[in-house]
Amino acid sequence: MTVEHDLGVVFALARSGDAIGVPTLRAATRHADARARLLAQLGLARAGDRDATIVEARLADEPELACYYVLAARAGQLALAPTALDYLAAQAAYEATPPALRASCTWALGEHELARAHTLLAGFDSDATEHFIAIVRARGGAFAASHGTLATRHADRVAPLFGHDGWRRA
Amino acid sequence: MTLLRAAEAAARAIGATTDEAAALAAAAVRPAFAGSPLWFALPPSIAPDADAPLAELIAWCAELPDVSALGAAVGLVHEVYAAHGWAIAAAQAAAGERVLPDVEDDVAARARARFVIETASAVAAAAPDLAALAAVAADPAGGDLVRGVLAAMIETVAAQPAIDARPNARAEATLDEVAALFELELAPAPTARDDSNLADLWAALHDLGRHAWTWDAAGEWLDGDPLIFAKAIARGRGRADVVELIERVRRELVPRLATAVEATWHAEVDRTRRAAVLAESTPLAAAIYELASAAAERAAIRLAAAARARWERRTGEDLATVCAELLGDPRDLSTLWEAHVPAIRAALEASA
Repeated sequence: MTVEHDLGVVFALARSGDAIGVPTLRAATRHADARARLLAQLGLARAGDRDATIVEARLADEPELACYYVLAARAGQLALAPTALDYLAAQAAYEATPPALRASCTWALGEHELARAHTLLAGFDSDATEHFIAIVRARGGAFAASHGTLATRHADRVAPLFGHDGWRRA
Repeated sequence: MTLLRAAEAAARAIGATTDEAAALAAAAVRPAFAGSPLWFALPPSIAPDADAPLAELIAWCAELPDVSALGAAVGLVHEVYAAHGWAIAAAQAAAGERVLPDVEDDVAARARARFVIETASAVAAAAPDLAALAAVAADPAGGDLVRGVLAAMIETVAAQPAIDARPNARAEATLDEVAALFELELAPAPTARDDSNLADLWAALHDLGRHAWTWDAAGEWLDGDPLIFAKAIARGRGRADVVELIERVRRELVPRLATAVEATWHAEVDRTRRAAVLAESTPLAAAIYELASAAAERAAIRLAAAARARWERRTGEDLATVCAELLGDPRDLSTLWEAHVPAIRAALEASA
């Protein structure tokens, strides 16, 4: 099977959002191709899969930035083990991480440990803070009351990938 | 073998299967009795502390719902006899009018040494307890191994050719590509700094190897992931290849570190066992310990028979009465120790 074939299968399952595709999508979260892994995580989210272990494992060893954007978004929706939160915190704390990813990791952390997210947020520059605001506006969550109505130049580029009802279902 | 001999006797008395006998023997072991933190790697006894009030010990002993509880009771009786005055009182009764010298500590030390010797293999087979290794001041294992691996990793990463990639732009492009599959148009990607320089990574790896190596550090490598930040740096710099390298190295390192820790664990348990083998005691202490050991074996048989009768709803000795007798005054139960009277007297004579 070619990568393109695998991508086609994973995409079809991800687009359907059908729970029947969950086993295949779970397996594809370990695919060698980053796009397949990204689509698999999106598909699991769209299918309403609640298995946190898939996300926990990939937070530890996912190498690609693009996939981490989606993992961080999913991490805010699932009941993660405390050790998995350390990966989010480290990525958010590292200043050379793209600001949108720092913001997404901090948002996800805030869904589990609000105080820790506040600490990280305090170290953000204005650009990262605006990314964070964009994410809160799109996804809601623990910071909705404090940041959900603030203005920002940015938009959350990950939330739309989860589908129209992606956040509500999750 | 002493405690385990009593446990085997109890197992025979209840007609235990091999598995039941093993469970009974395991439950008889009271880790605290060894006097070494290493022994706490074994499961704790479910029986009360031997220093608890006698009424409490008897009340607990009178229940014994299953084989494991019987094993725990056998362990309790063994400890009470050997190290809590029971055998000394019996030996004094055996000695008659001659007053025993103060050998209580010697007898307890002998019992502890014998216990260590006969349970050392079980401790060695248990998962290494890093806190216990720290408590016995064992030299932390694996420091050179981890530092060597970190140094090699720094060297490997430094030798990686610089990649003229724009990691963030590439990630955003992947998001756009996926969005296009879903026929979505995302907001324009933000322009962010793009820098794949790995100097931060070298610093982070160097920092990990800079601190003194401790058992806590070994534990973090075995149970956690000290490379979290290193991976975050490489990922943040868009170096997926380096993230994969770091993770691969970590996965290869952990089993090697576990092996090194296990070797230290075995060595420390063996060192404790050898110290117990070499521990000396006086002939009188040895004779009193033999009395305690043999009495514990007989007590275990009687306890097991009463427990079995209860479990099988047969007529037999009342368990509560048996426990009260076995844990009570040894002068009221001379059948357990009278065979040792000549040995006690001879040892007492020799020590005069």
